[in-house]
Amino acid sequence: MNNFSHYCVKQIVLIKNELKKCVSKRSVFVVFLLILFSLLLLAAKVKGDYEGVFFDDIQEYYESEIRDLYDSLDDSTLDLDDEQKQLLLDQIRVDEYMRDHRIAPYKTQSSTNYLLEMNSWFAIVVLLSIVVSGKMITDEYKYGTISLLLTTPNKRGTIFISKVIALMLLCGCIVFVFIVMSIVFGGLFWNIEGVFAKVVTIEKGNIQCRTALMQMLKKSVHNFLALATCAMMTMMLSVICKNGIISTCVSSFIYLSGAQLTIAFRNSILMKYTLFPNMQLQAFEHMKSEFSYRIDIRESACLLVAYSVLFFIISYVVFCRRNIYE
Amino acid sequence: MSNNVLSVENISVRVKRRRIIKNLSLTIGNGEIVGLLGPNGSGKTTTIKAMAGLLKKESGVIHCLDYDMDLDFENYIKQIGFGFDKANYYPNLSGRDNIKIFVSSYRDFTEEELNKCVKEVGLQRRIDDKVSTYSFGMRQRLNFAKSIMTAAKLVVLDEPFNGIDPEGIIEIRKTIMQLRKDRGMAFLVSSHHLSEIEQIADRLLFFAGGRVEKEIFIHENTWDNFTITIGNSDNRFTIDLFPNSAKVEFLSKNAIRISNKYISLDQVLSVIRENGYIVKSVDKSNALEDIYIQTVGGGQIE
Repeated sequence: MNNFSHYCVKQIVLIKNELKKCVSKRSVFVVFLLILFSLLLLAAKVKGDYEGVFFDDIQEYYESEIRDLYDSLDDSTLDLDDEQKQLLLDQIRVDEYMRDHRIAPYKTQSSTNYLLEMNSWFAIVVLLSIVVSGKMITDEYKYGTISLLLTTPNKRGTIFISKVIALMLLCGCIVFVFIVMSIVFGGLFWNIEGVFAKVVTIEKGNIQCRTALMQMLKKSVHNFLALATCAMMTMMLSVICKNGIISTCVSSFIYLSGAQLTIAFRNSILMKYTLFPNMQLQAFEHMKSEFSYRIDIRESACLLVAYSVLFFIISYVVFCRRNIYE
Repeated sequence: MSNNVLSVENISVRVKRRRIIKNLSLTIGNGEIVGLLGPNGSGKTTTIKAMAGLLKKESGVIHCLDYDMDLDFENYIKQIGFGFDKANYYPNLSGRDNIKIFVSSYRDFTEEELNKCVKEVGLQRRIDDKVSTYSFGMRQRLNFAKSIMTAAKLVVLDEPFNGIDPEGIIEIRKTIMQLRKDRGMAFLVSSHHLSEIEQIADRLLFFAGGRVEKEIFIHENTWDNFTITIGNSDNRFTIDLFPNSAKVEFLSKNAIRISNKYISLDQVLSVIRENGYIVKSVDKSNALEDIYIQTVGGGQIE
């Protein structure tokens, strides 16, 4: 226990130092500014995207939507299978619930919709985290401080773990800023009440009703796991190739090409276990009807954790065993 | 506990499949200043990196005080302050923050302690400026400040005089001597500047081909060599002319070499002139330079 507390104290000191180094970098400020700027642009874009459905008309709006859905169900020319029919029935249940509880439809211009839309734009945060993680170790080589860092009275493993923890804290901060600023901008462009407006979904056959904020936070857990996996992958690449630009570009490519590769190899069940669909589950979920298999969000989260652990082990071994010639 | 602050026994280091250090052994005593001399590629920096654990050694053991590098790395490294040749620090942080980052892993310290130490190395005016605005000499001072703050028993400096103006070199020299005197710190200094090393070191290790080829103690070897050439040599110009003949070396029939450690130049010149010979030239050379050239073979990279 004594050794453990000694280790914890050491880790806290090292993590504090790592955060101090990160905060001193201009690029981190640029990252935060980019997030703010992107959110502003997105808020403006989302505002223009939605149809002008006003709250006074919602009763009529839902009636028409439900009628259309029933028509689709009865339409024999559509040749719907059981799964597709179930999806339509679920949607009817959601619409009825929203009509009865006078919940504004998703097509309304509102901060509720903006917050839900934000989950699809999480890629911005992931890409910015990739930039930060790509610099974490490569900057030590670039500035030539790696030799001094490794000659402090700490084991290399301890130093590496402190870097990973600091990176995860930093990624957490970036996600936090993203969520807070989304709410702030949502409030600025529409109304702050929309943050607490109800969002209705069907989960395992039951109707779930949450606030828009809770719905966003729930999805953010998986998004954070995807981001952490991406950050670990970037760190692994940067430890191996000692080059920030290469590791950042490769990671970004793997992340961004995920949706396209998933479509290209949609008939292969093995694709389910690769990083591609799991890192961009949002995109994958929109097109899952085209696939012969489904990815459960929990299964996906477990896979992402497993990948992160694998990347961590590889980076740890390389970092601890490598000779420093610089 | 032995009198040695550092002992390196039979280490071999391979860098990218090439064995750079071969069965190297050396020791550094408490409060001793040891100079590492050798041409480029002779293995000085590789030895320092192996001591720092940056390069894995194939064989051998390294101890600092009673701590084995392989068995107790944390305590081993705690005794040594390393100052690498480029004196690199985090450029976006101030000198003060850099010291705090590196020293916080060694021990707790107060701001007063840090300010006192910074004053000792003459960096008090610029310590809160970003390191990116420092000159190389200032970064070297930061190296010293960091080493003092870590309370290391041994400071290893790789090329500390490189790129520093004469004033800076004098200050570094003074700082090293002062730290040895006040704190009993030992130093291992690798350098190409023979004259600088000669002024501070107690002992010199000449490196060549990854081995210590020669070891000399400075107090026994500080002298100058003179090569005297005469214009009118004849058969009488022999070693018997000189009183302390054993200390006069004949290079050719009209050139001799003497060391002022054993025989005075004036005395030799008087003998030459009294016997009717004309002194054509007197060339002075540093003994250390001669030993260096003889030992490392003119600086050929292996």
